Amino acid sequence: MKKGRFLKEKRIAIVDYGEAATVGRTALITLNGKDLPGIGIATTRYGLNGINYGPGTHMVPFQALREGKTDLGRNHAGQNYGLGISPQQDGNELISKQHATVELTKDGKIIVQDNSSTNGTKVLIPPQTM
Amino acid sequence: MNEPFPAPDPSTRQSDPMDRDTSMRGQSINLGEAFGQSMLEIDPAQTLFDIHEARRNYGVNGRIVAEIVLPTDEEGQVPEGKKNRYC
Repeated sequence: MKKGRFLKEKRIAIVDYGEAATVGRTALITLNGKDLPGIGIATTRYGLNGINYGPGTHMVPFQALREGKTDLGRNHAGQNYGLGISPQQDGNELISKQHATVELTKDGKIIVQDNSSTNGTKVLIPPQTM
Repeated sequence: MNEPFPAPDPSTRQSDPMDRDTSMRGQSINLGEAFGQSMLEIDPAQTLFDIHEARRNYGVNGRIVAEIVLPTDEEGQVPEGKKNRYC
């Protein structure tokens, strides 16, 4: 762990684990590029992974993304527990109670919506690297 | 006799720039009342990201479609190198 740095935002990636995940064969995380199937298996094609913050009480910040709406915010502590978003965890005060919604539509699109949060929501689209 | 064409290597595949909308790639989009836009639709097929890059940088076993950034005021330690975070 590197000391003296301060985390001011949670970066949560929308991750496509691939079609194999729908039958529960995709490891959620890797070590040096290799699968760690004993750690966790994705059972949905899409999920949310925290990528810039430590696991805290969790092995990996993770929440499955299923068809329909997934809410993010301090009012959804039970649902967002795996992502480390809850009033009980220090540092989340700037996240609104009903901050944002991620919707996976039937036709495979993903809609991110800010729910009039106090501090807004930023979405980063990665550059093409393939 | 000629060798058959080898199967394409997904890791080196080059997508055709003509068949994809590249307008959103690399962008940072702010959502919220103050920014005049509250919703963003993302087509995962349009946001290709090298799976090897995701593994190397984040230890995530998948393709990153987009990142959602939520503000916090957390002060603490950040894992160095952003990988091997599960211990």
